[in-house]
Amino acid sequence: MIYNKHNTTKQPIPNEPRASARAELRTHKNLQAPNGLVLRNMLFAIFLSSAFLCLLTPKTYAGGFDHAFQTAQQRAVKLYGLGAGQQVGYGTGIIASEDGYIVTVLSLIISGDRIRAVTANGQRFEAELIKRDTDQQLALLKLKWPDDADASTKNKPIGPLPHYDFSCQELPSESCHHPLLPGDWIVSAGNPFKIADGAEQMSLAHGVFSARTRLDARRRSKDFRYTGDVLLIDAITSNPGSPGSVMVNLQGELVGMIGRLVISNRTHTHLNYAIPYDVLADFYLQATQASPDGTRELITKPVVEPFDPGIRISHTGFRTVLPFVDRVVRNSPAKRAGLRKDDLILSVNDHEVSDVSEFDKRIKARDPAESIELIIRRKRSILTIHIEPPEAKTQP
Amino acid sequence: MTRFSRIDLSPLLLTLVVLYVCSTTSLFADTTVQPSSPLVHVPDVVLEAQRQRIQVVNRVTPSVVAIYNNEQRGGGSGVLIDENGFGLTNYHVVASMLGSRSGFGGLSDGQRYDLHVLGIDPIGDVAMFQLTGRDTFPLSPLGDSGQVRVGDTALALGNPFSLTEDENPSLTLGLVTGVHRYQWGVKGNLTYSDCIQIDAPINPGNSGGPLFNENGEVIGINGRISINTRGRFNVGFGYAITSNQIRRFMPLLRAGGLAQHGSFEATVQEDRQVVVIDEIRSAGPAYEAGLRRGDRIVAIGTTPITSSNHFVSLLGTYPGYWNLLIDFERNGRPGRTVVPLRPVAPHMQRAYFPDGQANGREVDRVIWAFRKAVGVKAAGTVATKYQWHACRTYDESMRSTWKTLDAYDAQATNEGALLLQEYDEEGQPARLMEVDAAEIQVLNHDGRRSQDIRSFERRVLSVLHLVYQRLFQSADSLNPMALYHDGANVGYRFDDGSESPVDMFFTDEFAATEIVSSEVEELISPLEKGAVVRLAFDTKTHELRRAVIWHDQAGTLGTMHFSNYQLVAGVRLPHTIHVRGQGYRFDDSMSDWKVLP
Repeated sequence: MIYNKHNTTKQPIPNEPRASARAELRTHKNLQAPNGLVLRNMLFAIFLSSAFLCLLTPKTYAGGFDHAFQTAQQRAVKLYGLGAGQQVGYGTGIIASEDGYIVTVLSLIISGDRIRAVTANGQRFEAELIKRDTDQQLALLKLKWPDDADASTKNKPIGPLPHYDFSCQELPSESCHHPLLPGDWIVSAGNPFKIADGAEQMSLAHGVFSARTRLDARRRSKDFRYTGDVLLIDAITSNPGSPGSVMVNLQGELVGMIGRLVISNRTHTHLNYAIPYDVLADFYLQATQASPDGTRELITKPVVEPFDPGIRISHTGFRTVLPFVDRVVRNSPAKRAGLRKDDLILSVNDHEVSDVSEFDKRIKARDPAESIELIIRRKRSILTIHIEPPEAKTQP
Repeated sequence: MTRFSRIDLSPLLLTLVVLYVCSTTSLFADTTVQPSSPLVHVPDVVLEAQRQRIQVVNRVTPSVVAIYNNEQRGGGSGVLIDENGFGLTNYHVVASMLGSRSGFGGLSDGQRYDLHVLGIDPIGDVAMFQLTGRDTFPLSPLGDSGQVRVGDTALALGNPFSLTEDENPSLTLGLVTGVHRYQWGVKGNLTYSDCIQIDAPINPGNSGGPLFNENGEVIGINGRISINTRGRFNVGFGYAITSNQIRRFMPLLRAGGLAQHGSFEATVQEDRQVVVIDEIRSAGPAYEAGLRRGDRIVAIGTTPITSSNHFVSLLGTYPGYWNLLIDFERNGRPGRTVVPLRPVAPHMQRAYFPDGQANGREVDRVIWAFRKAVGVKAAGTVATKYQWHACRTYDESMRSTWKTLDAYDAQATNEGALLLQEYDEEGQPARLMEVDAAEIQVLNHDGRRSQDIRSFERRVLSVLHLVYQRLFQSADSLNPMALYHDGANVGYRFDDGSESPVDMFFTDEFAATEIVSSEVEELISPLEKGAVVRLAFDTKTHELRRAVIWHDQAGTLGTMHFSNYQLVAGVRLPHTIHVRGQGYRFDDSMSDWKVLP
């Protein structure tokens, strides 16, 4: 998955019983060869096995963090843009292609007129917002340089831009999967607290991967809209500027991106988490397509964003919560369809929903352009409600 | 066909057998399972690394100090770096103790020792203290923070939240997560320049504690954290002052002084990743060292400069008066010069008085090392009257009228005055000059710098006389305030062995571009109002290397470099003196030294 980098070979497990048993059977035949041959083969075998032993001797981790961090920070950009109050005007992004696509988190930074990105070698570029995904809280940017830009005048990247290759996700390749196991080391490179500037190295954070899970943090839609999987980690990454940081394993392979700051309203605890690689890859690949010359080009057809019906349902902390409507957003499609507070949703588009998470899933999985049919219970009556989409909007 | 395939396959298969046997007989390191926990599969390298780490922690723990104030209340941490009990901590840890200069230091043996605060560096947030009460103290060596890389293991020890009951420090482990960081200070104080960033948790009480590398060497002093909106505790960003910065300030801190940081008196800006001088003060040290607006700064102190931030950050690690080697480029031509940095006094609430006792001790040490190096057995046993034959080479830019002064004898008298007998080219006595050492004029009456070569020369000789008077005479006759230890500095020397002072030059004109630097310690001695002479002694050879006349407002007025020490009547004396002043430069090669009765 890492572009332009020699792959680190995975160490084979030395005592795999099946392979060894097979080896035993075969060698039994071999022993019947003439004596001299056996001796010569034995010597050769000893040589080979000692060579293998050298390979299999576990490597030390010395320099492992350093190497992983260096590959990561070279494939990240420092982002600067709009900031206000607690929302700082700086962050981090992941370089996704040689022609300058940047995957980052949705934040105030990218909402301004001007977004600036600084690459690892200190080059500064303007960036433009290509796509935003409010559900996944992700954004796609692209670095800009003039058509007549020249690397020698430094308004164009000097040499190929180091990047992570998301497009291998399209191929049936094992190389794209970097499943983390709880306890695996993770290393992140980002620009928290704006400590680094220009060509200065980003900050490293390290820790272990704890779990891949979903968050129940969504109390109101405004608080935390992302409902997909997250990678929980024990590195302290919940700091201003960290969102968008590259997160890699010890081999330097991209495993995720540090997400937006999530703070508990009740305990003020900060959550340290990352958005998994596959979510990032899906987002990137939906927005771009491979072009014949090997680069990625933007999918220009208008993407219909699923409209927000305007139904707000609260999670009250339990695992299974009946999908009672907590609030209906004013002037929303649901309001126009006549949905009310305290309605209990029984089904979405003929699919029965028994709890909030199922409701969320059904709402998300629906055809974005189609209307939604809800069956609800209001007091003692069962009602059917059709929520019609508002006038179609195009991206971005 | 089958035969060939069998022959080809057999070694591989045998290999597999050997591998299988090896694996089942636990020849592989990572199949070795700890008997106590058969379910846990920990590779030997990991266990070995852990064992080594525990060893390192055990080794360094005795040198870690928990610092308490006079009321025995916890304040911070420190580390001992010398068996005589000298230790390092943060300035902000001892700032409240400066009134009494005393506190307590707890060691891992469970004892609290008396702590005496020595020198402080408020700008760099470093302070030195000394523990007393033991013959020898455990110590940890200072490492080379220049070798620290991002990703290195970082061990922080200290007393966070005053947790310890038995004075044993707490360990927090992490990685170096950034190097060459710059963190702004408050009113110029507590500025962390070119510091190490770590993710080992640093919390209140860790301040002043040591940051160790995995070999147990002190690579920094932890003292600062980045905080979020969550309050004053760790969010994964701690900063440590580098050992290499501290090393430059240590001799002064040991002498109980108040450290000043250096100023370049020029601003730089970044233009397409090239750092160029933007504005330069015409009377500042950078200008006087020959630098001009538009010059590109390539390296300072041999460290290549990558950005204007980097320049500012690196500059912050140097003390005032430091002779900073600058590599520059003008119109594509590489050049080199030395900028004596102008000192910047730290912002202090009240006056700081240097520790007189500690300073006197350091002055004595330097002077006696010098006397021993040049062969003086005891104070007062050396004559102070000399005669020598001087052969002078002028700088090309010198006025020709002074070329007649190419040979003279000088007589130094013991009465505080200097007699200079000049001879003309035929060797006939030409002129007798008398200079009163007490009336050495560095400025004219109108306050401007003297442009008269004769007065400058007299000044140089007077200073030389003063130096010898003060250095060779009995310690009793020394005015206690006449000499004051003012910390470390650096001297440069060409690689061909000649101890020429470095002037600005373009390296393409010089064959010898490599410069050897050597560490020196400086003593200062007052001359008249606002002017001092700074005497630099080599820390290795203990010889007097340099005397600089420094004026508060005007900066460096003149520099004398002494070299080529040779034996004269049992005493080693310099036989080459290079003199550089503002507008003057000459080199004296001195021969036929005579000691007069």
